Amino acid sequence: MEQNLSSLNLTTECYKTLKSSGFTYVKDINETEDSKEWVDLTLVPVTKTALDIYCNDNESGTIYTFNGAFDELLENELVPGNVVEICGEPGSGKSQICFQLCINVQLPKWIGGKEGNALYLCTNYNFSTERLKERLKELGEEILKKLSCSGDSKKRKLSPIYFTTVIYLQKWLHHNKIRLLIIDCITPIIQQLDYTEKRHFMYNLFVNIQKLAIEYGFVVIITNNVTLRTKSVNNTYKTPALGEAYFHRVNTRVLLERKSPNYFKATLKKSTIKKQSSVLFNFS
Amino acid sequence: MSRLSTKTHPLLTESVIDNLFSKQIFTVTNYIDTDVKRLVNITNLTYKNVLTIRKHIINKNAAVVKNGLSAFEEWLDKNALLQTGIQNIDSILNGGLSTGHVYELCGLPASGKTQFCLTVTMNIAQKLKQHVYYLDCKGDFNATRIKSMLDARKVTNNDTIEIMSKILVKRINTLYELVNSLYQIKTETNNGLNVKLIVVDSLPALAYQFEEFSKCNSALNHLVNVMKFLTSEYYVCFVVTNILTTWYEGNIGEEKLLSEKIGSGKYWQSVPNTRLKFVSGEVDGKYEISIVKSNEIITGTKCYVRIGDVGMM
Repeated sequence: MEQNLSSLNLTTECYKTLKSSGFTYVKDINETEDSKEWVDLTLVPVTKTALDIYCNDNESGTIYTFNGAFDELLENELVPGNVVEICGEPGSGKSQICFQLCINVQLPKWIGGKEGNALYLCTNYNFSTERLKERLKELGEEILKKLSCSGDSKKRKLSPIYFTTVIYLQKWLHHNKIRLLIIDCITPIIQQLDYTEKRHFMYNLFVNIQKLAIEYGFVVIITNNVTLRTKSVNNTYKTPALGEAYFHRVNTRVLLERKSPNYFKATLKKSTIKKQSSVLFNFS
Repeated sequence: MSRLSTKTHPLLTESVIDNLFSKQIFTVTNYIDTDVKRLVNITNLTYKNVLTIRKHIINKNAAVVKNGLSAFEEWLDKNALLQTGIQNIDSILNGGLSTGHVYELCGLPASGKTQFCLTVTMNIAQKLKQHVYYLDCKGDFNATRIKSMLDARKVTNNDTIEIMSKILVKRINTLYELVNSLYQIKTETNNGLNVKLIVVDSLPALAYQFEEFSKCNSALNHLVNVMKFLTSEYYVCFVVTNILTTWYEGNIGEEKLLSEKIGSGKYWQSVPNTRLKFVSGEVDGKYEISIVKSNEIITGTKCYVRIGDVGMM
């Protein structure tokens, strides 16, 4: 059986033209054609063995929050190409963790950083330089002792955090060594869409971001809100927003809860590596 | 190849083909549809030669008739059961995954579908020492997990390397890429690569990218075509993961009805031979697996499995 031309992503007119000139199968064209469009149409992703992938993954390594319990939970999850969702109610520490990771990713490799930049896409204007400075100070005092570097470096760490939109992302990635992409938070973007376009928008966004993430080697973190769902009249339960089709698409989900003013609980809800489990941690 | 060329038949020289093309006769189908006398005029070949070419084309391109007995013998010869290595699942599947079948795993997110895929992939690479294709559509293939499962089973380093290089992974971004990949696998199988299991994880990640259903169904149709070809010609077994979504219907104040919807559209629902449903147990860590569609096994048969360090068991 040969591959029919109609199985390619051709426009209807293009297909009709080819068909009327007697081209039916991919093989009828293949031998002579080498234009970019044709190569894109008949693209077959490269085959890698599990061994190649394992060696590759090990080189890049995990980004750490420097928060023992939390890091243990997310060991091998914050790796390039993975989409990690952090969900929780307002005030459960989602953005806090994002800020922390923004800083850590820029630290030198020998203390567990990635020497790369972070890209923070915020959709609800909650990016706060003040909070970031606070985190930086706490971390600074601890690490500066070991690092013995001047105050200038702190500023330098802060500056490469940018705001931009997804459209410019690809142009951007060429000149900037991005190791972390944060979308804080995804819920309003998707919820403002019409019911009919929600799903394919979501799936296209994910596939494109993941493609870039693998190509340029960055980790994707998405934050999400919690919503209420009704089972029956008297039976409602809290669940992360955006439904199951969305949950299916993320690779890892962590649910955050605030247990007391200082203590937070993180539960791993979905992961290919680990069992569902939870840890308690605080931010100091 | 359906387009006429000098390779179709030695009598079709380049000048003859140019003549045919100028009269809008491009493909073998066009050639057979055209009146023989007209072909004689166009090609300047003798009546007999035109008929010889016609006969040759028909012989080469028409479907082959098989008799029932030889088809059955071939099936006996080539069909096999691939043991998943997960005891409870093997027993409800009457021994294992049957080659030539398409299995679908459906379930809510985080219900163990990917874990099943990874475990089976590894077991078959380990026990049958065969190549397995893992077509990863949403980045869920995790080599670290495979490595840790092998470590937990105390497999030696050399074996680990061997097993992990038997697992072939492709990262797929669109449904078109998936179709192209399967055609490439078809060519590779034809050239002697022995693959008996192809895992597609997951289909809705590709199917839900389409805005129009008609476009999605057309691409799915091509996918199913090549899948069925691989299953029937090369006795390959497919494992495809799909999604379940829950919907609560009813009005305010009324008791709501819970319904579950299988993903990837209505068309896909009739494609798999066997559909397994995965339900994660929130309390005791057990996962329930039941058969919801099959032409061989009684539907409703179920079993329980656990997911541990060594994989699903």
